[in-house]
Amino acid sequence: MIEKLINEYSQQAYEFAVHLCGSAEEAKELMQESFFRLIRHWDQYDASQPLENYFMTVMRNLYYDGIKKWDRGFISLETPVAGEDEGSVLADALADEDAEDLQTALERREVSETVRSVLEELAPEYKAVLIMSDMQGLGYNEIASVLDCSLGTVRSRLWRARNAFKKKMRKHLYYLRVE
Amino acid sequence: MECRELKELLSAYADGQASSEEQVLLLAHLEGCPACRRELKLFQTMKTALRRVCSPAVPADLRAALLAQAARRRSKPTPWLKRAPVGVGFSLAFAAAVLAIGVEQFESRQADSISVDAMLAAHNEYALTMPLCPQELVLSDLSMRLR
Ligand SMILES: [Zn+2]
Repeated sequence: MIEKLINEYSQQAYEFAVHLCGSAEEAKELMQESFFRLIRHWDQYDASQPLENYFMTVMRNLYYDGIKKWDRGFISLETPVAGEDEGSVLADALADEDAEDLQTALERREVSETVRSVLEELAPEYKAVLIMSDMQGLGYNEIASVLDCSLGTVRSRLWRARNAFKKKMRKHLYYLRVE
Repeated sequence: MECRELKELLSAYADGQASSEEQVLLLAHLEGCPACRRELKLFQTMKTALRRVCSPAVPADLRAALLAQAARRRSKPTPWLKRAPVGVGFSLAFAAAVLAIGVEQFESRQADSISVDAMLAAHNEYALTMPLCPQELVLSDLSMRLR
């Protein structure tokens, strides 16, 4: 079962780790440590959840533990940053003005590097859902299983993540234009 | 229905995760709302842009290390370890047990120039702090295992 996990799902797990951590070296450490914990606490694994999802849950938890410990400057894992969330009418209005610019920029293939750095800057919860949904193509059910939350939470978190992404992407584009 | 109430649904629709009733509702709204149509298009483009970001292949040495770890687990005779008390007692029992049965279980770790004492010290701290183990310990333990 564990060998199957490594042989069939290590790529998926590694992608998750790499985009979550933003570096290959950290991703490797996260994978190894998570695997170590998975084996060590095998009795905590509930077999009704697919093992590959559970392994991602372990990785995600370990990553969050590390973030909380190191306090890398994130305000909170859950609290949306002001203006990223509902209620920001002004931000929405301003956003509409350059919505076309954003659209055009995102359609260009060369934008990949910017997209990657924008993703890296997002709060961990937002990063995690965007990686799983958009980069790895997981459905809401699978994401809910990894995050151990409801489908409604996945839905609203993805929406908030996309707004946060939009906002940061816009900022990047602005600086690119200024330079 | 107002645009604001539909924003979250737009995002779910882009993911193909809206229910059929929601789809009916949303499509009717999109019909007469260019702003929401633009927003939906943006979400879809964002998804494509994210999908295009390259993901590196899992390094061969990492995969090999995980397989080796899995194999080690399989060959480990641990029934009585499971009965050992958790906490300090567990670590002491673990230390004694390792010394009693010899160090062949840690051959690979020793081969990587890790002393059994250091291993056990790390393990001791690790066992005390599990499952909510501070990251420094995890990392020091990890770096020892990687060294
Ligand atoms: Zn609308």
